Amino acid sequence: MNREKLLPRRDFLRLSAAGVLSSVTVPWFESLAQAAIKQPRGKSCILLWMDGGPSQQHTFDPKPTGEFRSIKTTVPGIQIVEQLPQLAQCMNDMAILRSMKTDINDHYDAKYYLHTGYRRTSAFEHPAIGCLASSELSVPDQEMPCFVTIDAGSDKTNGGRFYRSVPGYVGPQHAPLAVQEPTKGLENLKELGDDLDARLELLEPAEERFSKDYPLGSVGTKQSAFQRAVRLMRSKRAKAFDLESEPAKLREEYGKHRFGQSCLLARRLIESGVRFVEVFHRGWDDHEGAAKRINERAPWMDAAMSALIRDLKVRGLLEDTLVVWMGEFGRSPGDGGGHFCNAWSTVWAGGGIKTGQVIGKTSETGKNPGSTIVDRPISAPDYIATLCLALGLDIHKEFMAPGNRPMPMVEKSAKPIKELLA
Amino acid sequence: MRSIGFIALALFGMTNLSYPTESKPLPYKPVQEETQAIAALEKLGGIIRLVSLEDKALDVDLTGATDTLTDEHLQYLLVIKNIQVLRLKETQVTDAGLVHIGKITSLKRLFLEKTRVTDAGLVHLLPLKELSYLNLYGTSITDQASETLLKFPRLQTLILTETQVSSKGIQQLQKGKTDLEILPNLELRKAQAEAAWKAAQKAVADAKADYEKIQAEVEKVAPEIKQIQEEVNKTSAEFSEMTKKNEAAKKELARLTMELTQAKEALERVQKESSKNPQDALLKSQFEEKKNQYDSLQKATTTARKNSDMLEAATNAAKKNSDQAKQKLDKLKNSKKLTDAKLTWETNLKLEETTRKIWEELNK
Repeated sequence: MNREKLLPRRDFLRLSAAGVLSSVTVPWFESLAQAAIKQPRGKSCILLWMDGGPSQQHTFDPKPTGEFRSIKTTVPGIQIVEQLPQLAQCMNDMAILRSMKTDINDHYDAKYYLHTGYRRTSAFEHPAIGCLASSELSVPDQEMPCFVTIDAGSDKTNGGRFYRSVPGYVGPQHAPLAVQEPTKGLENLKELGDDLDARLELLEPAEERFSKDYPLGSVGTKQSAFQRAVRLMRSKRAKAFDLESEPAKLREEYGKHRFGQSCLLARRLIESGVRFVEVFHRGWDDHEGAAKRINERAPWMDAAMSALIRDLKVRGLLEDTLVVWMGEFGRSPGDGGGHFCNAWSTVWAGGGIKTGQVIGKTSETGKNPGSTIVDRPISAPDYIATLCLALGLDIHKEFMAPGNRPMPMVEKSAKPIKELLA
Repeated sequence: MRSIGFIALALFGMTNLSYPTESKPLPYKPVQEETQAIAALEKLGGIIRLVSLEDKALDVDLTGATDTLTDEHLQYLLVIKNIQVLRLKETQVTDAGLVHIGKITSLKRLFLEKTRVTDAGLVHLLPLKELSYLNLYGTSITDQASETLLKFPRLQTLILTETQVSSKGIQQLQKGKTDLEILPNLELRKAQAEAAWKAAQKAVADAKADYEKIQAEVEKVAPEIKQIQEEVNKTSAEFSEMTKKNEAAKKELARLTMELTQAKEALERVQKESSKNPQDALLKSQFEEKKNQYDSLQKATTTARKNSDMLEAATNAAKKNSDQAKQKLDKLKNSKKLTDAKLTWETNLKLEETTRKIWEELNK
């Protein structure tokens, strides 16, 4: 093997740093590409992850005795906090799930649980929902990555260890591409110099020989990740990562805050063929009380999320795109000071689901309104099962986990929320 | 080893090491079989999938064929059964292509964003009796297309954003078919913007009233606050003083305790010597002296301890008083409630400004 003709290490490292190359963790076997005709097109998803646990009583499940006042929405009988006036006008396109009941109050374990539908074990890693979507909805040789995460920043360093979506046994090629700062786009997307073609030509026989000599999963992974990187660099669709081409007015409507620009980028990526975008914002673990913090966040969250829903709708994309707003649990009724997994809220919009409704109900009366669920508790497996079905995935499909253990996509006991699905 | 290598290569089907190159034009060749048509479309860059796992109808996505697809190629679609969704965003399809599309009678959803179709071409789509969704985003469709658009019997959603259709045109269309959702819906958007602004205005008013109410309550008890503030100052000072005295007493006690220990040791030494030499009169008198010293020190230490304990208790009581007074003051001043109310008011002011600007922009 002629080592001098291999691609210089710097380029490999550059692409690696950009998050394009996935690290090899678990050995995998690439299944032969399924005939496209058996695959469902499914829906796309934008997951708005509020890391740390957003207080439900200070957002989407206000109480008369609570710290925030509530306002009417466009759906009679449904009220949210007065600090979200634009979202109140989007209620026809949203559904609020108020009866989340998920048993785990520890940050990392809860994030894992709400991303995978499985409790964390030491045996192996379960695939996160974004990786599952990528595994089921991606198409071989597609130009854009199937799963992208966007860092929308943080207003406080808290919320425990950060959970990074892991593909586990669905294969490392379904790890997400990570965008750091949305206004900066994707780093290292442009070729350095104009001889990439020539260098790739030199690389080809070497790579071919190498994979013949070392037929290992990790070699295939690296080579396919590399090809995907080159494909992305060469793709016209990659201009989706560039926010500069959006009209200034629209950028303003989403809001100058990093979260707003992240939502706008998410819309562009969905339009360009990305199927799952996770926008995460950190800092919602408000132990000193949620009122002050959520007052500070409400303006940019209201602007961004409502702009996203309206923008998707006016482009005719809302029916094919499910928007999900959530954290890993809620917060104590009253001042929102502690973690609270017993009764909390998530919000869904678009995606062809039945919107304009509330699923489940928390207590209104008693010493501590909102501390118990009075109707239709939703467990984490129920939740993930519903999400998978909404995206068009087959929840009965089984994967092979390490140890030759067949793992269904969601726990068999999961009960999807039929009232949400069309 | 070689055979494993080959199997591995076959398994790693993706590593066929073909880097993307420029796409070559693929001319249209009529085919008879559905599988041939699907293969041809896939070669052009199309992706054909099921609409969903329950619905075996087909979703044909040709958005990957923006460079390769011509109107002619759309004839492949006519050999494929049960196409329900057709995606043609940013492809080269023109009115001529719509002639072929009009023959896909199973079609329910048609995406034509940013294509070169015109008003005239839409007529060719009229045979699509099942068409419920039509996306004409970014096309040059004008008000002239209204008549045609009203003729689709099952149309439920129509996207006319970024077209040449005027808002008046959309209003006319809406009048013609009230159950049709036409976007953009400027009237609805304006109504929503106004409702959001009004809600924000009310929120400002409520928050302001809330803040002023708390402030008034605080003001009402201003003389009491003054009084309690004085009490806080007084008890605070007392506590400081007591603390100082307490510290001093503790120091004194520590000093005496140490002296007592030393005196005890001295006494015990002399006692030992004396008991060894019971006849020694000097030792006996030294012993008496040391014993007296020890006794008086012991008395002093006991007194000092009593004093220290008393001062400790008094200091604790002073702290309690001081804390109670501070709590009383806090409650009367309602600081936390006041700050929270102020922040809610400021937030709602921000929201009012944002929603007002949006409403003004829409009503320019």
